[in-house]
Amino acid sequence: MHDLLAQRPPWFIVGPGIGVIVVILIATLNARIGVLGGYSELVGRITGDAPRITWRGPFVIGVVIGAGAFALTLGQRATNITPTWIHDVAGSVPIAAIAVPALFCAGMLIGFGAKRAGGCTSGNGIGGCCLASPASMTATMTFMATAIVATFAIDLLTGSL
Amino acid sequence: MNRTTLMSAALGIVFGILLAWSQMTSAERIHDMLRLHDPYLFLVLFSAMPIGMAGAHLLRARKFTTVVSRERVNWVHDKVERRHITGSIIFGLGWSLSQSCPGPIAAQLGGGAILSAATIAGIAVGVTAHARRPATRQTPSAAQPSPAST
Repeated sequence: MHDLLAQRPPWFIVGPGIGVIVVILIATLNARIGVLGGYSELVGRITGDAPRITWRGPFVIGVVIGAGAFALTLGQRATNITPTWIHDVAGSVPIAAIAVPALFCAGMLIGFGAKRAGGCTSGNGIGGCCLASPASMTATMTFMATAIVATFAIDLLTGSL
Repeated sequence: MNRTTLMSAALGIVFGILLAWSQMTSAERIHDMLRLHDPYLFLVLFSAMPIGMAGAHLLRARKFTTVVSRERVNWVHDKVERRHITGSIIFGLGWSLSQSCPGPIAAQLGGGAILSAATIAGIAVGVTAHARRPATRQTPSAAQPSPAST
């Protein structure tokens, strides 16, 4: 069991599995899959910007719970989430001293950008593309290309290319 | 706790398990995928499409009434606007810097990666900044989301 969980399943299990989730979300709630909407719902409840919770908030909470259940079953915490480039630039500086502000800034870009674009990788990338939305497909191609080019740029700048 | 909350939470749990198990939470994995050393992410996304697309369109064509919310399956598409491109550029930059995106970040938190709290705090600021941006820059489709958009 541990070996099964410690290795990632083949892509042709995960992908279709997500596809099934997409369809069940529509068949039960007429909902397009997405995660960022859940963040803005939950944050909005705290700030007062969003008056009510729809399906999105609970969906994100479910993701947290599911990942937690997985970690408990596997018997180890989530793998290292520190961006790889930080190890390349840190030198003698403590990793956290760079990682915390870097992730906070990256989070701001993710939150603002995805909200502006109408969705994140799950929302526009999976959900919107499954619905054949031209806006989602445009968004998906744009953020994919941006993320890939930016990754190469970061690797070039940090000398790990 | 109503049925909508239960249903969406249950589906979120399954999604969270898949994200964690497929190691989408790992910065190193995402880095390998974005620098095109590992095709896994792209294969996952592409292989989700046939089922998702076929299922969604079949349900709509059949005028299916949803099991929990009791409505007709239907959706409207946002028109392609400049924000879909500019927002995605900003989002893509954030993705490459953090080597993570909203779903996996939530899974990181659930999996006990405390550092993800920093990313989540940033996302909270980002979405709040967007919600409170000057009214003159709001577009109708962004202000009133259609049922199927964020």
